[in-house]
Amino acid sequence: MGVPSLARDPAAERVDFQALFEAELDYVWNALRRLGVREADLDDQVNEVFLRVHGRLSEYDSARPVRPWLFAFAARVAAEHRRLSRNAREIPGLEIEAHDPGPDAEEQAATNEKRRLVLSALDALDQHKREVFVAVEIEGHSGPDIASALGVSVNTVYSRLRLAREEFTIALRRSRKVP
Amino acid sequence: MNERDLGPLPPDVADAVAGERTRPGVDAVTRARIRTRLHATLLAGPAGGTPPAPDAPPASAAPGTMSGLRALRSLHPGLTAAVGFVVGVTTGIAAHAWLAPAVVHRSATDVTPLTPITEPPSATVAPAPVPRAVPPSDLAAPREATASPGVPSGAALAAPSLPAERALLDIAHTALAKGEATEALDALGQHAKKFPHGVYREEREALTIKALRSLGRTDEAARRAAAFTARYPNSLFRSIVEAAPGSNP
Repeated sequence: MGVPSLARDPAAERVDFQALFEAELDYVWNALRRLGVREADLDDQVNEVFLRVHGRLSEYDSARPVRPWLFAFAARVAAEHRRLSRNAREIPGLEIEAHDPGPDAEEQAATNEKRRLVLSALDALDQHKREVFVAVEIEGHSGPDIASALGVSVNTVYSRLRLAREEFTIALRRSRKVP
Repeated sequence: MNERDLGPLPPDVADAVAGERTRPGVDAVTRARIRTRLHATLLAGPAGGTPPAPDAPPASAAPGTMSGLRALRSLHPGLTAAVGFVVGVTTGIAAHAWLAPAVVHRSATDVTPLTPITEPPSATVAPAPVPRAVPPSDLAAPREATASPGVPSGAALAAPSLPAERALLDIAHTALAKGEATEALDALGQHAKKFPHGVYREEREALTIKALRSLGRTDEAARRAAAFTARYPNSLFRSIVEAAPGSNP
């Protein structure tokens, strides 16, 4: 997906914020979902991410890719959201996958089940490991980019990623065995 | 350590992760709802003012409204009633009607005539929590329940043509973000043809002006911008329409 460039002119910044919102809403929505925000809370949390982005737009370094920068906002908002105990766990049965049209219902059901298992396995990770796993393995960001965006060292990212991979693999395989 | 040192994920795990990567995004109605709400919240907050603090919000407040409330504190007292109402409505919508579109109330402090967005205009009232900072005298003033400029009303968001309208405007937005103004104009032209009185005609016109400016058709853009400002004096898209000549926002 094309990523909008962000100009420095104040008037242009407001306009580019709109372009950024339009281009990256899907990205932020899915990142929050993967970071543990419940489906029912996504509207609120997406709104919160873009409000913060709007307030910090002048700090964005346009020489760097925008998505890792957005991911850092999403990670912070998701962490704060999950810190509230009532949001820490998805309530079974509330998963909504209604807006994913597919030609074959059986295939679609299998895909949805696969995605549900991934989200369930992600729930087994603590927030720090979950952030780097989602950022690198699912969103496809590089270690250095996400280290810079999250404000941690590259070694910390890879250390967390190594542990996250192990824990995610165990959790995923375990959840497959549970009917 | 780097990614190569970690090696590939096991095949079964990689397969599951690959499936997650193709998770669909936001449907048109949800996109419109989020856009509407964000516009309403930004309208309440200081767009170019103090950025929201990155620190965690107090546990006693709803996270989804924190930035808006922080923005509220820095506003001029005379605007507090209007801002409080918008933030309150936003909160009320989030709490009571997740699927309902935003409805923005205007206070007596804003007496500019409203731009008609729907035909006929809707008048939907949503519950609005009242922030304590609002003086009682301001709260006692009568309020008009209607849509904010540029924000589709509740009835408008329920229109069956909405997803098709939104899809065309999304094409235009994406094309403009990529710098493909001609493609954007194509989509906007289709919208104008199919939905001449559509819910999003105000946004369409703003994007058209932006696209024309991008293509260097500045005279045409200026003419349309003047007409736009006259017709929609309180538009949320004024930042697009009023962008400096020669800029390519």
